[in-house]
Amino acid sequence: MWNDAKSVVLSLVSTWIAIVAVIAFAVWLPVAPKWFPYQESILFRTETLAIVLPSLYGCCAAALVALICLHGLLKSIQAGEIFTLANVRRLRTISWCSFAIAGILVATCIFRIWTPAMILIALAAGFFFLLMRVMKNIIDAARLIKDENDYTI
Amino acid sequence: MSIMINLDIMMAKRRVSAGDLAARIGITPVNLSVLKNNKAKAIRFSTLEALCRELDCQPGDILEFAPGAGK
Repeated sequence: MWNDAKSVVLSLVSTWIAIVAVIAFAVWLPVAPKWFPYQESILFRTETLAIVLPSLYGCCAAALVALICLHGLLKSIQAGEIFTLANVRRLRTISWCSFAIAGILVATCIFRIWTPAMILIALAAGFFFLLMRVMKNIIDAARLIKDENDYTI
Repeated sequence: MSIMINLDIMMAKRRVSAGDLAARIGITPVNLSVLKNNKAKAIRFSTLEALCRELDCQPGDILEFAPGAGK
């Protein structure tokens, strides 16, 4: 039977898969140009690699930090500690990581290196930044209410 | 917090133990300790009523406004 505990485990497993995927992507990046020998993608042309590789590595680093925070958040939910200051900090970190990804991709576009996928990911990351900020504010407000409630005798 | 709780004074006057008082007013000894040590953020009227009933006192005997205290 499906329950909350299994749902958290599924989220944890999904987070681990995402972490592995990001690491695999980072490992694959240096050999990526060999996969596109005819340089059909603007991302992996010889003249653009010097800009694309650092920006994609920057995105990978931000994504990894966000995923590790997400893992910590899920672990604390599993332990029944939801409205805590640590979780608020994790959500704040996730939101700023999303902002960093959006910012890095937009900065790359300034060099006229862009693909529709990059624009879409930047928009999604920017929207995710907003969502996470709101979530952080909600959890922080709930934490204060819980704190007050816990100390009302 | 400028509101002080003088519960320990009243408990000493009435010669009642913390565990006994907690049981009589229907809260846990831990919560009574929170109240006694001025760590509580709020007190329910029902708790205050029970305290006044069991300690045979007025709310003013338990609560005190002390400006600048606890800063």
